[in-house]
Amino acid sequence: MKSTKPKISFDPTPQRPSVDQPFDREAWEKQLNEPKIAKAPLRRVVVEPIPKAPQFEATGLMAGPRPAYLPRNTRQLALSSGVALTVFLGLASAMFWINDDRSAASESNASLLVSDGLSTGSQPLDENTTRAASSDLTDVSTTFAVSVSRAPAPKDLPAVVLASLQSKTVLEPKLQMLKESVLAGSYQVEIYSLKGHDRVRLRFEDEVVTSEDAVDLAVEDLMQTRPGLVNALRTPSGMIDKDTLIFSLVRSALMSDQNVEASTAAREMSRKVFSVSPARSDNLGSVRLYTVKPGDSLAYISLQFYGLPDAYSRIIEANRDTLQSPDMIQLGQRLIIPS
Amino acid sequence: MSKRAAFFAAGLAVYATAVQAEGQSISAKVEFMFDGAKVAIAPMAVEASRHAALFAALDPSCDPYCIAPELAAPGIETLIEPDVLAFLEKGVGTNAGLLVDARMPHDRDLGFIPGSVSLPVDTVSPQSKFRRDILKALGVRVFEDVFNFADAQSLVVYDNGPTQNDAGRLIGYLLDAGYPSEKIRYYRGGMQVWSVLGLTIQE
Repeated sequence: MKSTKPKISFDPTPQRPSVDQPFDREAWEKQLNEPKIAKAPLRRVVVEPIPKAPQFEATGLMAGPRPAYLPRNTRQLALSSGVALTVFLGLASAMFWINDDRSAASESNASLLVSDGLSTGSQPLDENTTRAASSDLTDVSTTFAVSVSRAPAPKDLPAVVLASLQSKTVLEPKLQMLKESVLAGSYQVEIYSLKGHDRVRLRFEDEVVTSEDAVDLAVEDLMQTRPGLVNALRTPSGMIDKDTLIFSLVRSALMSDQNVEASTAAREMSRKVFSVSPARSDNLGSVRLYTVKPGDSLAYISLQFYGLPDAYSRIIEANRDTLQSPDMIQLGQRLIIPS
Repeated sequence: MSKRAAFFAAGLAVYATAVQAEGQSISAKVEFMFDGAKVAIAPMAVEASRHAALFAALDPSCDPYCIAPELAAPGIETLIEPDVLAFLEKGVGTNAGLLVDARMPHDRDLGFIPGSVSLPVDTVSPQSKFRRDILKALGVRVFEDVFNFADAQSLVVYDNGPTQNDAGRLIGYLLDAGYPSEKIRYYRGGMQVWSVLGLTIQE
């Protein structure tokens, strides 16, 4: 008789962890909280479905066709407008100079008749007056000196004009678009993984503002108006936390509208992000501690725990002893989260 | 034939060691820190029989007489005593979880499991004005009327035992508030089974 090997398989290892084993709390908690019924991994949290229309319905000033060149050709646009502006200003100053010379000539002739050269008081005339004051009307060196003294002005001017022009032409329409998206409810709150840590961000149909140029512009803009917020947006690696920057910009744009509809939409945005916030803190009796993770900023942490990106001052206040400066949070740093 | 018998015997032996190994890992004796003090639970408590009689004699909380279901709610795991002891040691003892007594104060006064916190079921009902503060105390983050459960504590909920359903109601209220089901467990045996096993009871 040929006996077949009985298939006895038995796992003698006990299912429960031995009491003597060193206790790994995190592993235990993970095992404890693991859902018994396997769920499909849910990565993206869709809080509100996007309305059926493929793109949001723009109203008011935005009703016109969307400028398609904006997102892609920002750099070229900025560059070409810079070049155009420089050329224009150069031409204008040259024209001015020529005009000046002409008027200077006529003026100096006139000054022969009118002894009081300060009559008009405007700057070019003042310069002419000085020139007119010189005894020799054909003295070229004075003319030259005047023109040199004028030269630096157009040099600084384009930079300033360009910056304001860029923020007007590039940033504001984008913000306006995002604002309209939020008002129409056509955005998602998304959980994504950054270096193994879950984060939450807003996701728009149009990824216009997420372009690097726009972020740089927005940061430059904020530096002027709210330097504190820019500091609070710094991540441990010194970068700007883009997710929270966009959230902040859209939120303040909505709040500045000062109507019920806009502020309700802004609150709804906060509530959606807050309800799915994956940030976890440790409960040490009376104190809550949060460990700083890659990509975090004080404004982001504030949004996770208080629903508002601007409430970071509470965290700064509570961690005054350990924070070197408000714009210096370090990876792995433990921050007290006051409740 | 003898070969088969030998295999059978070997199988039995393996089975016996496995049972023994499993038996060893379940100890009815645990010690842990709770609220800054050392708490010890051991079998053969002095007043065990008095407590057992007391909890057995309690009127059932529903009329006509009913028995609590096996599961408090879909997706909620039901625990037995060794699980509760392990939870006390490794969950409650490390601030990672709470053993929740769902009974109203007059029931809790009869005695409770050491290391448990009192969370009377009616204080968490949707009508209760304490609900928000209680959820906060459980680690839930609150913004306006939105709750975030990322930091919420792991809970094991119990009551008098199978003749009462305070625990089931409390679990229902918590789930209604949005508490994640994987963070709640149900100890169905409650005080009735706990006292019959002679485990330590605090008064």
